[in-house]
Amino acid sequence: MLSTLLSQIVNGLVTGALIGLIALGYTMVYGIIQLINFAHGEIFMVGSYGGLAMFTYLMPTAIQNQWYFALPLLLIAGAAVSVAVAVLMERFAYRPLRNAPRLAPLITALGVSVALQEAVRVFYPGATAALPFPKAFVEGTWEIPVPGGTVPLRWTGLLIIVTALVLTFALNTFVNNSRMGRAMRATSQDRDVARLMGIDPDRVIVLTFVLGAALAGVAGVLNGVDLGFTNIDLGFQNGIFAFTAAVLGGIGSIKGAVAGGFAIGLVKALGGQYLPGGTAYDYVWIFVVLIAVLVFRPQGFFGETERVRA
Amino acid sequence: MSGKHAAPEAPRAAIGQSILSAEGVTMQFGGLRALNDVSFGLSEGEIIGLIGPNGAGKTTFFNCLTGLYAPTSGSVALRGTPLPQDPAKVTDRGIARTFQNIRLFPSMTAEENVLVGRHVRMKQGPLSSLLHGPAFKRSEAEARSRTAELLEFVGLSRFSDELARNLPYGDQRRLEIARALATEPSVLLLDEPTAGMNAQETEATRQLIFKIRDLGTSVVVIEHDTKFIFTLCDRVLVLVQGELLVEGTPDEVRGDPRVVEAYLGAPPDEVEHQIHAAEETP
Repeated sequence: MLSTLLSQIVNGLVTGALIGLIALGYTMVYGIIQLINFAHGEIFMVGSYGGLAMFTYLMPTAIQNQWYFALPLLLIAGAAVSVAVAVLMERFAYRPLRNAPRLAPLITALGVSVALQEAVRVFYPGATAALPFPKAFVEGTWEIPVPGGTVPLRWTGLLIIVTALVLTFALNTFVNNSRMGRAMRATSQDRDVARLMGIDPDRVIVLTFVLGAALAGVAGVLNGVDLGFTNIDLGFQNGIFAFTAAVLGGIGSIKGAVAGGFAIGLVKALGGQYLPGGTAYDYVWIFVVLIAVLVFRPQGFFGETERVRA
Repeated sequence: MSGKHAAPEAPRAAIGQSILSAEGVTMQFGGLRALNDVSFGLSEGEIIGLIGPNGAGKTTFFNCLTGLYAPTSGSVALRGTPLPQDPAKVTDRGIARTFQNIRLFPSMTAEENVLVGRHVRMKQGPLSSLLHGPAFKRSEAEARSRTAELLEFVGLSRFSDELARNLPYGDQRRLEIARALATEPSVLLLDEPTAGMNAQETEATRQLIFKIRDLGTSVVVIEHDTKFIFTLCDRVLVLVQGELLVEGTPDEVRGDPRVVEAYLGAPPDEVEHQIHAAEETP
């Protein structure tokens, strides 16, 4: 059935756009300090709680039902909370380990991840279970007519795809065509020489965490708006997908993170529909694809074959 | 002595007041004393050569001058003010360098490498960069036109959009010089700028250094090619085992028996022979 196939492709694109937004944070941090920041999924999760807190405790009830006021405020609050947590995490968990063996910050990242989950569980009222999230956008679906039926696309899904594409474009422009963006790339290629060009690596590293966290915070709020709930384990699940997407696309590459996100979204949706075992096995297909790519193209879709270092 | 003056001499620029000075710089790595009580002064419009056998401490000295190493004792001052122990701030103050083993940003284009050199001279906050305001556009346009001038200056305009790692070896060295110049240095430190170059490229580099000096940047050059150093520099410093052995004009240094013995390790006529041989091989 054509409409089934197209519906799953649409589902895959929505999931993929969300995963891509998170994957950008993994890939940028790795590019700069060669750290897989396993706590990044939690940055996405705290973003959704930041948005929720804004809606529940700060937003005047008068505008709660007007999404064009509410949504921007939710997004700003989500991004702000994610950025604040990421900056503290970088400052107190990773910066003291800047010159430690690589395993130390990696284990620390796992620790930060658990700590953040538990902190939200303990301190956010009601977070011991999934909490309802405001549907701060146009509800319902767009029924796209195709031969033999229609393909449903949730308006919130469309919002996720459009936001992801716009933000990725903006990020790519920033990294390629601005003073600090070039400083980021220079620092990732040779930190000592970057310093000799007058670049302060600490500022560049903080900026990298800030950008990745802002995108994750936005993704956290959008995911909540789309699902209608949020939960503390969403960070871990989506974080694993996003990390896989970053590796699949070629870790360190912005294009790669987004392409990897869409690839994973599509594998998850189409594998769940057409492969034996159904959605129960979608994790299996994602990791089968990852393993296949790592065997045949270890640097991922857009990764560099080798890093030239003096 | 005929061969030594065969290359055309560029007119010496007027030498002005002292700009960079090092006082008793000592650098100790564990039990190894890489530099022992080295002092020197560089004046405006001057080109100084730093020669010495491998392991004499020449690159270590550069690292002390750029804030990469903190000297164990001694001090470095630019225009009388001590240099900060931070390479980023040293660059901002006006010292730039190139590297013996080329260290460009390999996955950035030639233009981007030079643009990174503009970093300290540009003002763009992250927010204005995200919003692309008029101030941002002006600063980008200014940086790009300055970059185009510098690539033209070192003769690399045609490689502007080429990744640095794909450039021919000699051009990579020139691109490093352009990137260093982009920081608008008053002192440029060149670490073996002609290593691996043929005779024509070496001569082009010599002329390029004269042009840089004429634009008002003082230069310190590390080089093993003594003919290159003697025809380029106003003064030559000879570093042997971390100590400053001899300092003087090229003629003084060339004739000094201590230099011949310590650095070249051969009697004078042997050296003369080596210099001729070096001139004949491309």
